[in-house]
Amino acid sequence: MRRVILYSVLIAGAVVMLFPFFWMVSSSLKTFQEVNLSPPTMLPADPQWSNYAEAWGSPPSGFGRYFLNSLVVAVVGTAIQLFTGIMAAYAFARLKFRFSNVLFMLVLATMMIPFETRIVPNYVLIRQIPLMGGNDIFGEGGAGLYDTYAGMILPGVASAFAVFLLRQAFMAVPRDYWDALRMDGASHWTFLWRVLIPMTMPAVLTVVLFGFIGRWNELLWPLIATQSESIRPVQLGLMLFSGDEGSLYHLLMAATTLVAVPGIFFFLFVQRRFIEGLTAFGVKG
Amino acid sequence: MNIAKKTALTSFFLAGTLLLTSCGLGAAASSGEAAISAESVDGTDLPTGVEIDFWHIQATIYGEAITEMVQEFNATNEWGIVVNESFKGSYQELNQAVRAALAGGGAPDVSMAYENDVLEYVANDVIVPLDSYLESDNFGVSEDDLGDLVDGVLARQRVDAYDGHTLSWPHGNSSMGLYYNADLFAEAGIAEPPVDWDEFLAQARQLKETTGLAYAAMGPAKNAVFYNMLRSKGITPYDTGAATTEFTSRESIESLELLSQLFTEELVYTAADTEQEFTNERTATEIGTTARTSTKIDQIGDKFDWSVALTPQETDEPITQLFGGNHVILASADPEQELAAWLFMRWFADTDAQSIYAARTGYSPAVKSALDTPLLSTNYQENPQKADAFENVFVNAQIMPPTAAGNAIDDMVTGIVEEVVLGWVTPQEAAERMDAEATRLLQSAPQN
Repeated sequence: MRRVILYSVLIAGAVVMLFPFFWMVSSSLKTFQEVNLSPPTMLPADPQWSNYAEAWGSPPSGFGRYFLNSLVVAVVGTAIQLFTGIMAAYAFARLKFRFSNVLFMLVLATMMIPFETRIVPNYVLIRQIPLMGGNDIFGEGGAGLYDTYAGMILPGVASAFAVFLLRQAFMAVPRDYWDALRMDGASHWTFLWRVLIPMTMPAVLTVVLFGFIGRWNELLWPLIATQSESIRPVQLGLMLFSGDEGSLYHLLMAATTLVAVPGIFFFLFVQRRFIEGLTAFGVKG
Repeated sequence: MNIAKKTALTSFFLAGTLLLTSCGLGAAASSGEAAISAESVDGTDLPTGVEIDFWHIQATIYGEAITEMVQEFNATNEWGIVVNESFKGSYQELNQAVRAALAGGGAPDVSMAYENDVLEYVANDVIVPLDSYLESDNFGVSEDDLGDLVDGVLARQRVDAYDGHTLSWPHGNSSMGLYYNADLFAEAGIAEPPVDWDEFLAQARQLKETTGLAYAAMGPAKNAVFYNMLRSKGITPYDTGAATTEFTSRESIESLELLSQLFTEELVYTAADTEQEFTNERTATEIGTTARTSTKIDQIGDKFDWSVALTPQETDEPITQLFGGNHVILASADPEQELAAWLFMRWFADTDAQSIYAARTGYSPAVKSALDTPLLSTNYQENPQKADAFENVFVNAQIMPPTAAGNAIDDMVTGIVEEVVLGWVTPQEAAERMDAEATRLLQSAPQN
């Protein structure tokens, strides 16, 4: 009996969680008229598979280009964020230096600064970065990293969340491992990559997943940091179906389905490790 | 020097360089200019191939129309000007992008903006007044062409707060109209849309009695309908210059009483998407933006007969709300860039471009002559509701007095009107609260 109740609750929960996805796919196959019907239809009367082709080809550069852009930004951005996170976390967890706790608190404090307040400083930084994009040594004369992949990636390459999570994970590994390796003459670098990273893989994967999904879903920063349509990511592509004067919901849902697929597959691939990471290091999603 | 010291020095140098460059903030923003003369505009030698950036908020069919128009301009303009258009999200996101660009450089030459944004740009000295361009012999706008602009559209480019200057130029606008389902009207024995608010109430009761349906649905933001009621009675809700309001006037309290009555008798209800209520025949009317006329045509198809009329009026000078933004030139300290920006803006507001825009979207053209173009006249013949939106509604549209406190007043009025329709406060109490709050907001608004 308890089992029946348990499964009933789980199934009900799964239905609640999956219904938005069902609704997204169902709406993506409706006509413009049907998607605006009220009360709505659960299933499309005549599935419009052509909505996917239309949505895919709607932006001037096509959604294929947007996917490539998102992939570049998400993969490179996540990789650099992971690298900087590991380096900083190792320093905070394993190295002794003056003011380390104060510095760590400062890093954590940056998590409380809302993104909106960082827009202008970040923009100035990428626009006036010296010796890039036609800029001189004082950061003037050119466009800097504006309207480039680097401009989209740079402001998020250091993440306080990644530093925090990895530091906690590194600190959970007993110091005896380091003592043993040091006896054999190993360096910090060897200890980090040969011992710490493999032992804290759930935390590393959690940082990767959060970083990737965060980058993949970014909207406001790419909107501000880019001008050319051909360099923009998928999330900005979705905005083309919804504006101040109304939305094309059927195409929006088709495009959203396409955009959601990589994230779903990525999550399925790493979900076990991801959940291990969350539970092991006390992160609440 | 050991590696740690080298690294520290390198880091210090890099951080210092970034800090120094960051301190350059505002260099581009401080180039706002004193008005140049029409003669100097005429004397500007425009080289071929000047490139300008144009930021806008238009997506869906509106964005596609802009792309088409920009391509048309780039291909046909005699100066070889190249416009690079860029979609920048909503007005709020566009405003954030412009603010960032004004601080860090790379601001667009032409941007869409509401009057409140224009006042903010004026306060920061980053906008180019258009008077000299308008008066220019070579690049100006003739009296005939000025007369071709729809009155309300021209008026919003030179509102009182601009101190006699023209600071923006038309983009393409919409207005607040009364959509009605002619089939449901016929079923209820209603011949025509209501001419005044008493008839609005009478028709709503008649429709409820005969069909059992509600007359209209209103969205959560009811301030626009309330303002529309006031203005149709000859009342401007507030005076930005004097920082006074008309919220406690007899007309205002009458309007609040009418709203309360409509909701109490369940003749009107609140819905998140009023268009869905109308197109799915759950209400006989919808008070909404005429920008949605083209999408209604697609949604309704042959389901029922419908059109759009002017909202009820109670004076000899009909008036309704004018929606949508304008174009402005942001200062670049380069006369050639600014002239190229003006020439694009002038073309955008002219007959051919406006006919494309109005034919492809639900916007009404800013100039009357667009109606005579083959493209738009054919489009309006095929879609008579769009012609009605222009002739019945758009030509009577005017904006609300612009003020930096506008959004705050809108939010406050929306909240209090909601309390009225829910029966939580009396119209008299609501009016007094609106007056007190709006007066305080107007007095504290920086541009008033």
